Formats: sequence, structure tokens, C-alpha cells
Amino acid sequence: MLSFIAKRFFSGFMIIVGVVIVVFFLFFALPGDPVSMMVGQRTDDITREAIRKELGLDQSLPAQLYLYFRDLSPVSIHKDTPQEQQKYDYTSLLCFGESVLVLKVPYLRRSFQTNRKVSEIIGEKLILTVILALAAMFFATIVGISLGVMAALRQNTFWDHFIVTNSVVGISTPSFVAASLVSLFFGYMLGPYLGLNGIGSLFVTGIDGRELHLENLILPAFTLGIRPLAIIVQLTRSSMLEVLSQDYIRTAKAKGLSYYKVIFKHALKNALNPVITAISGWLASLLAGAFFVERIFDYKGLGYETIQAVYNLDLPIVIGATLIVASFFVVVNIIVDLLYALVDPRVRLR
Amino acid sequence: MKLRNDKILWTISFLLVSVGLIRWSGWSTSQISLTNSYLPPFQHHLYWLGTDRLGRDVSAMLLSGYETTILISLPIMLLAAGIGIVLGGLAGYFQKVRIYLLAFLLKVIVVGCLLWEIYITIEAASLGNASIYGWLFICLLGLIWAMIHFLQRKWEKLSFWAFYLPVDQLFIRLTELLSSVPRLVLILCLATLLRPSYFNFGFVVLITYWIPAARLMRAEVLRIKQQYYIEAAKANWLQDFYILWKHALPNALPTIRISFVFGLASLIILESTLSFLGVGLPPETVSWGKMIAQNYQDGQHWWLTFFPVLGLLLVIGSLHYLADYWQEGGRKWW
Repeated sequence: MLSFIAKRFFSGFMIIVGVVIVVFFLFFALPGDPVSMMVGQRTDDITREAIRKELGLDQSLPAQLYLYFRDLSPVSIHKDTPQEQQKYDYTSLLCFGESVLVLKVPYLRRSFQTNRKVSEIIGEKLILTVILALAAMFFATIVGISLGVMAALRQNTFWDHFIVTNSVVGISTPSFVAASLVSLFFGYMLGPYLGLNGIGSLFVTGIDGRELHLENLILPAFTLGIRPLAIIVQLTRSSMLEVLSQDYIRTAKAKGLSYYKVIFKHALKNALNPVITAISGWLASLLAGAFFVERIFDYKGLGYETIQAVYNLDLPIVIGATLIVASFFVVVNIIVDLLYALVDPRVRLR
Repeated sequence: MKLRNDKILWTISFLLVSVGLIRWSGWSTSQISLTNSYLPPFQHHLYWLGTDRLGRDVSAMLLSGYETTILISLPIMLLAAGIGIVLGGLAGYFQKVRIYLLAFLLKVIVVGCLLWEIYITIEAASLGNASIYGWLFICLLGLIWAMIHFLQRKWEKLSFWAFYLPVDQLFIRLTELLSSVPRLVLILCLATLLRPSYFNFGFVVLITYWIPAARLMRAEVLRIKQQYYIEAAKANWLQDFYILWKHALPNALPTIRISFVFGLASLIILESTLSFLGVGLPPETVSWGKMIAQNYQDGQHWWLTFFPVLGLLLVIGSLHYLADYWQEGGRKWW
């Protein structure tokens, strides 16, 4: 088990390194001019040169890659000067002469627009997106499993067809369409009756500081949950039907167990395996899917910030968000794999 | 769900007929008539689905947006599936490839020169000063490549720098790497950095969209390799590429086409999402995503949002329907 964990962590680490390299080459090696993105078109050559030097753009591509990795790595070697200390905000571990081995928060550089640290901005916004994704997943899981069980128990009746048809519609609706329709219908048309807002973030800065508006979570979470909901319904239904046709269910019924005991204790427990796989797989991609939902509902999370940065050509934030979401993917995958290994010994042996 | 063939036919004809319809109908998407702004649908004999704020015809914009969607998504997806089939098939069939370093390096150098020479010659030809020597040089390089290729067997004794290139492992690592960068985020970010154009859009999309088809193809080839007919083909001294093309590919296609259709649906969603955000495609393109983006907050004039949404749902729904038909064991190609 220990060697399995070590192997999994090592491969996850290698994937993150690979992702950094891919992102670096896509964003830095492609034609594009970060300097004019930063200061606009109208500027003199001296300023441009200074900025190029500060961003390290005057160096060769491998040297830039090295600098990039040094900035990102939590443990790295820097020069022992107050400027560097202020730039990276590090804690020194070991000193040798001029340079120092340090421990720091990954330095994702500074925003072109506001000159704030990208890691600060992302850390602030990420939590809102994670709350949104978890709420959506919670909603989708609870409603999806119950609807799926219901459809399986009433197979080939009106309700079964109704649920399955609607889930197909749910899968094929793009998230921005669903978001704009939900926002329009529940937020504006029914808004006064339901007390919901068409747009709004979880925290609203009012006259007396930040206020928590939990009702603003409902519509985005509902919208974001539609797709996973539809998929969970179909998965639960098909795996439930498969389990219900097996022999041990008949045995359980023949022993005289009550209907609900057979369904929930014998059938549902076994039917949920593939569903849990799907749920864990979806959790990471919900983080990415939240981008458009956040944009339309004006929910000021990571996705809103990123799309705003995309419009402002704020490159460091865009790269930072890509890296963060990618590492989230990798971490979630590692956790899921470890859980599998814990539950199913066959995975470990492979 | 029980599916009937005639429904599938309806789906396909719906998808195909509407592509050329805008050219044939003679409607225009750019004609503005301010006297006819915000006409409701089904009331005017010219504007069947109503008009928008500038008096442009919604039905024409709908058809034109459909054409954009299909003409962008279909070629990109075909290319992506092609790349996926080739890479996945090669990875699945040749698990490891024995490589003789010297011959391999020579070949790489020759092929590099060849490609560069072809590029230069074609560029010169397109500028109008083509020369026969360029083409002769290309032929010469080709000859050198063939010589290396056929003499390789003799060099084998000389060259002891032979090693196994784990093609399959490399393939698995590459797909794992590319699929752990979230597709939508990557595409969104790249689409903003590059200038909006069809070519850049295709490039950005292709980076990730070949992966599902490639994975499926690899799994299929691994399955097919175990079959007796492949063994028989090998026993008959057929070439590896011939076996791949003639025996493995036709047996893998029925599975690949499902992933193709799902990929197409997801690409259509992606295209409309990006044009909803106003990113990626040139600004003058008419697209459903853009129609929705311009009008979705306008509850009064419902037809401006309703028809593009309906169109998107119909197209994506019918593609899912087709995939369902194949998944449930339908054998026909339509």
C-alpha cells in the first residue's frame, strides 16, 4: 500500500510538472506580446525594455522556463537581498553566502492590471468557486440518485420516460444556455415572488462591510448541477436495473424482507459503485464548468475573475487560474485513486 | 429506449439539409431595416421568425449560425478523429518499437531537410520563381531516405545502439498530461491570446480533442490484436500497416464513430459557448452563441433567444440520439 501511495504521488507530481511545461510553452512560446498587453500600445522604448527585463523576456526560452519553475517551486534558491525577500515573501531555511534556500508560497507573478499578487487574488476567489461546485454536486447527487432510483423502480411507465427524456435534455443543454434561461426565468420574472436575485455574489460589499447572501448560491448551484444531475440519473437508473435483475435480490425477496429493505439495503448499496466513480470524476470538471455560470450570474469566484482577466488580457491571472485548476484535477484524481485502492484491493496489485 | 431507423433518418436529414439552406433561400443576415425592428414571429410574410432590434431577419441569422456551427465543428472533429485514430492505432499496435539510433537519426535529419526544402520550394513556386533544381533536390532527398531505409538491415550488424522506444507508454503519458489540463479553461485562455480566426480556433481545439478518439482506438486495437484473424494475417506475412489499415481499422470504426458523434456535440457546445463570451472566432461571424449573448437579458422579445436555444438543443439532442442508437447496438451507418 505504501509503495502504491508513493508511486501515485510521484506520478501526480510528474504530471503537474508536465502541465507547467505545457502551459509555459503554450503561453510564452506562441507569438504574442505580453509587454504591450501590460502597458498598452502607447509607450516609449525605454519603458518597454525595462518591463521586458523585469519579466525576464530578454532571456532565452530555456532560461525563462528555469525562472518560471524557480518562481513556482515552494522550495527554491534565491539571492539573499531585501528586494528578493519583498518580492517572494519567503522564509529562509539555509544560508550559503550570497544565496539562500527558502520556503515560500508559489509565486505566480503579479497581475498586469492591479499589480497585486496573483496567488493572493486566486486564493481569495477559489474558495467561492469551491463552495459553488460542492453545493452543485450535493444537489446533483441527492436529487439525481433519488430520481434514478424512482425511474428504475417504475420502469417503462410515464414517470420513467419523463425522467429519462428530461435527463437527455439536461445533458444536451450547454451550461451557458441553462444559466441564461435560469437567470432570466427564476431571477427576473419570478424573482420578486421567490426572493431570489438574477445576479449576485455570495458576499456583497454593502454599506456596513461584507454581507453574506446565501440565497445567491441557489440559482448558480442549481444551474451548475443540471448536467451532473442528468448523468447521475441515467447511471443510477441503468445500474439499479442491472442489480435488480440479479439472483440475490430474488433471494432477499423470497426470504420475506420488506420492499424498502430490499431496495435500499441490498440493491442500492451495490448499484451506487459506478455512480460514485462518476461523481468523483465530475467534481473536478465542475470547477472548470463553473466559469460560464459564474460569468452569467455575476458570482465573483475564480471563473468570474479569470474571464474578466481574459477580457483585460491579464496574462498572469489566466495562467495562474489554469495551473490551479489543473493541479486541482490532479489532486482530486490522486485522492480518488487512493480511495479506490482502500476499498478495492485489486487496484493495488495491478 | 427503443429506437427506430426512420427517426435516425429524420435526424440526419435535419442535420444535412439545413447547411445549404441559407444560400438557397436568398435571405440576408446583414440587411437592416429600422422600420421593421422587433417584429414578432409568424406574423410577417417576409420575416418568418421575426426581427431583432435592427430589423435583421431572425430566420436568416438562425440558418447562417447553423452553417457556421457545422462548417467549423465538422472539419475540426474529422481532423481530430483522424489524428486520434492514427496515433491511438499506432500506440496500440506497436507497443514497443525497436530503433537503431544511427539509422533513426539519419532518417530524422533527412526528413527534416526534406520538409524544409518542400516548404521553401512551394513558397518560391507560389511567388512565381519556381526552379526545377528545388524539385530535383527533393527527389534526391527522397532517394537518400529510401537508401537508408533499405540498407538498414545491413547496418544492423554495425550499429549496436539499438533500443526499444516504448511508444505505448509515451502515448499514455501524453494523453494523461494533456487531459489533466482542463480542456475548457485551456481553450478559453488560449483563444484570447491568439488573434481570433478560424485557423487559430482549430489549432487550439485540436490540442485536446484528439484524445478521446485516440484512447478508444488504442483500446480497440488492443482488443482486436487478440483475435485469430490478425494472427492469420500475420502468419500470411502481411505488412503491419496493411493489417492495421485493412483488418484493424474497419473493426474499430463502429466504436470510434460513437466517440466521434459525442465529440462533435461537445465541439458545437464549445463553439457556441466561446462565441457567447465573444472569444475565439472573428467578430463578423454570425453564430447562435452570439445571438443568445446579445439578447438573453431581454425577456420581452423572447423569440430572439428562444429560436437559437431551440436550435442548439435540437442539434445536440439529435447527435446524442444518433450516438444512443449506435450504443444500443444499431448497425447501420446513418
